[in-house]
Amino acid sequence: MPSILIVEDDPVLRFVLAEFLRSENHDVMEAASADEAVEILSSAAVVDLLITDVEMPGSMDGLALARRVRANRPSLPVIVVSGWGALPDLRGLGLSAFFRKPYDLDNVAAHIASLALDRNTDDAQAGGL
Amino acid sequence: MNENTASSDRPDTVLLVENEVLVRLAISEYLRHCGYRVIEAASASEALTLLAEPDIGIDVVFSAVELGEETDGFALARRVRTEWPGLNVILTGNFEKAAREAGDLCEEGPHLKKPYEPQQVVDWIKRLRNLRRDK
Repeated sequence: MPSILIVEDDPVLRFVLAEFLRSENHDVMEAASADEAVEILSSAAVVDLLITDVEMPGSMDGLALARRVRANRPSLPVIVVSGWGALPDLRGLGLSAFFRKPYDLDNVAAHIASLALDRNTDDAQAGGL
Repeated sequence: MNENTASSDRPDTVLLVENEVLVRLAISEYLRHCGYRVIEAASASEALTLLAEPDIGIDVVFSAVELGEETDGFALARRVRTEWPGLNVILTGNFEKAAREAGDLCEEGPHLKKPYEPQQVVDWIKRLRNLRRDK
């Protein structure tokens, strides 16, 4: 079962998205900040898809996290979600998708299904960040 | 204040409060494997935000003592006992204790069995951490 890492500092939004994706039979891990996400991505845990918010406390925001992933694990799909009024600058991030909050959970699930996540890529293994 | 008690038509719900993300990952996975619905909080303030949501329905607060911020697990437990007196609170001092307590919860829990031994959770946390430290 592919593993999805959700990075969201709002605990209620994180819970709602995680609970929904678990109900869709995904294996879901949760991070409350980009720093926590780096901890997970640098550990033995296997991550097949990253979904990150943009504005979060800590040493980096979601866009910096996406840039770091793109540099170190180029085949890891990244979805960015944001509630910002202005569209964040997403150029060069190679995103799989961008969803503006409040997003439709079914649309997110449909997009994930379309990715046909495959764990057998070279850099989808643990500790790749 | 809300009642914040779970309805009987869903698995018992555990609010897991742990600021070490790799420990939170392993303990939450273990509790889910034995049938609990687990809500994760990375801090006491996140926990209080989730407790204040009337629709979530929490049965047990399972918290580390050290939470890396002004409000530690003891203060959180006092707040919970005052504002949500019907909730059980379990405090754990380290991840080995957390794994043992999670094992006990699994024996009492909705499926009445441990999916695997708590020591395997401890070993998994150590493996997660060791790879991180090698980086």
